[in-house]
Amino acid sequence: MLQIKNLHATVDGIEILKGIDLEIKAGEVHAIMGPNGSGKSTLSKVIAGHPAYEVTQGEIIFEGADIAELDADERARKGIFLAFQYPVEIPGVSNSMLMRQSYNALRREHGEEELDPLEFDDYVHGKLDLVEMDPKFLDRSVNDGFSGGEKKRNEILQMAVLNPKLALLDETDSGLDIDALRIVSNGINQIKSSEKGVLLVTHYQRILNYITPDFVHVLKNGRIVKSGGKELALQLEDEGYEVVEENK
Amino acid sequence: MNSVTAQETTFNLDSLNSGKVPVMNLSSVDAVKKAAAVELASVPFPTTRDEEWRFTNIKAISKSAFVQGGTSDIGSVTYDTASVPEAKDSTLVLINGIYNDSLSKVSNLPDGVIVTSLRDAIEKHANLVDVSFNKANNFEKDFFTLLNTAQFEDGAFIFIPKETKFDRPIHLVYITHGTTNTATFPRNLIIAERHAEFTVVEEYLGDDEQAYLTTSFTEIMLGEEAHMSHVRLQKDGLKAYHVNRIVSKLQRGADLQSYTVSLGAEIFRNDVRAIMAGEGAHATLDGLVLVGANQLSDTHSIMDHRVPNCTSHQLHKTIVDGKATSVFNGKIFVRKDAQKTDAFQENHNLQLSLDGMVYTKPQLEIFADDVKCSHGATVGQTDSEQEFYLKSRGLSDSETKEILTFGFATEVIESLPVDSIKADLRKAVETYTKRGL
Repeated sequence: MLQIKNLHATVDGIEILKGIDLEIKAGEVHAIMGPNGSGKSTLSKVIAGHPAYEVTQGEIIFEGADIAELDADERARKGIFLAFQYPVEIPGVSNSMLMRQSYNALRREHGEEELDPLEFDDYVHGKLDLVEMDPKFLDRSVNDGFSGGEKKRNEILQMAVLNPKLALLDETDSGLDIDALRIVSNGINQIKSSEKGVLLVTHYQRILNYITPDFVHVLKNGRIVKSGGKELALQLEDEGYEVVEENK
Repeated sequence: MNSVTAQETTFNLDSLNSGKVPVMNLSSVDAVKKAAAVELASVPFPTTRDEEWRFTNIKAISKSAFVQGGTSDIGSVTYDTASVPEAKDSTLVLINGIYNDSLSKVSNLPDGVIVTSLRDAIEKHANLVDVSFNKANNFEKDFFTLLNTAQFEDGAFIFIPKETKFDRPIHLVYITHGTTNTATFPRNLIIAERHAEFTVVEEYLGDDEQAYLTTSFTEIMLGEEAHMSHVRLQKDGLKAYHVNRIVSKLQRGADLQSYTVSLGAEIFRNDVRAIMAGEGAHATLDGLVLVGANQLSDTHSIMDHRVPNCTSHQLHKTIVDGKATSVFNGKIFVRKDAQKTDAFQENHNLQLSLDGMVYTKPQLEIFADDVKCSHGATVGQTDSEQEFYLKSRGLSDSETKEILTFGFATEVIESLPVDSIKADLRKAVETYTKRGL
């Protein structure tokens, strides 16, 4: 589904990603772990198409085509979704309005009829339970005045609505209390399927108690320095990132 | 009625010094009108050399020969008072600044509430008019205020007696109709006694085909602890010139929530002023301006804190597209005695085009030493992180721009007190954001 080959990326002329190779197949969950400043969040933003980052070398192949030159919205319409580490507040735009327009943009892309507000309302209400969200959230402005946990649940709600092929979850677990982590993880588990790929960027191992990864990669200084199975996460938790560097 | 409002009177604004004015048949009012006409003769037409008009070039107004709009040839004008369903039985319609009985509908008012034309009020409630007319205002040699005062023939009159709550909004609809260069001068007087509660919506309409001039002036007198919500919708035709002034005078504990939304007109100048004349008064003067093409919209506001312990709040937002110009000059004036004033002002401008112009000037004049005043102004394009967030949800560049523009405008709209008007304005904003994209 996703093949990243020798990916180099810069922001403001500074190289952050220094040659990443990664392949995610449908049905797989990959966890990217690493210390602060290692480039984990950058990787997810580069895959999603953040305009501040420039790909200077390498390829991002999604379903057989290089998407490195596509705009973020084109990538989204191909089925890539980024759950933000810091979801952006958009005062004055209701959650339901954003999700309806987004969902309809994807439907148009696939040659499907758009849903009118009432039809969309039915559709989105079916998704609210996944993240245990009150329907009142639909009428509130996007992330405006939401608590940290509410913002993250809202990201997962949007993901459930847009039903992407590839989900990039950028530190979705950070800042969550235990109940919120359970709710968010539960939502992700219900959405993932044998047709979807998941890239889970995380600083801590604890979300992996809820979502079992098939692969764990350790990112340091813009490179993947170690890959392994879920047991690698436990090792990291016990021994810390420094040990991994020594083992390199 | 001894009126000199002959429709054939063509006048050039530059030399309007005849001293002839429409007669209202109330000596106090007629004296004020005559004095205004005399003073007007010595007040030059404003130009960009005047500080108050620096960025607002209105030469086009002075060059046109306007004809005072009359009441003939208005048979074809229609208006459905159910357009704002909340006010279907409390709507006054004025055409060319003159009350129209057949299109208006006012019924089932609470005891003592008066909603009528100013001319009717002068006839039937002369004492109320006498006490309040022209009392909120001082002339300050303002050309258009003097012009309105001299030339008005009619307008709206509202009186809410003490301890009366009027649940339905009072809707004042001003329609300009006629051939090119119709001039109208609606003059409104709104009086609320202590503990009154009510909502007024002024709406100005006209077609896009003709140039016309509206010079309007609304005086609002709020008694102690009176609560008023005021919405002013400027939806004039795109060739219209509109110069407006609102002066509100608030007594002890009075509360004014005022919202001005400006969508139409080629040139719009809006002077809004709230005078905190009694302790504990509060005024909110919010505004939303949407301009495109060659439109110019200028808001000058003054929060005049005269006594201690008053608060004021102002959120003024403008969106500028095309070659349009927006001007905002917001003054917070805290007089020597107005200790413990708490005043807050924000002006945010969203610039959608490179050719648009935004002038913003917050102005604090503080003569008391124990006050809390703050102001802030921003001018900019849409936020890049918000853009990326929306694009990552599959929205195209133009959809992203639309939705962010909509969100920017919505903050003001959501505060409006009348649901059907909120819904209408949401649609108007959608139409605005879609044009030219």
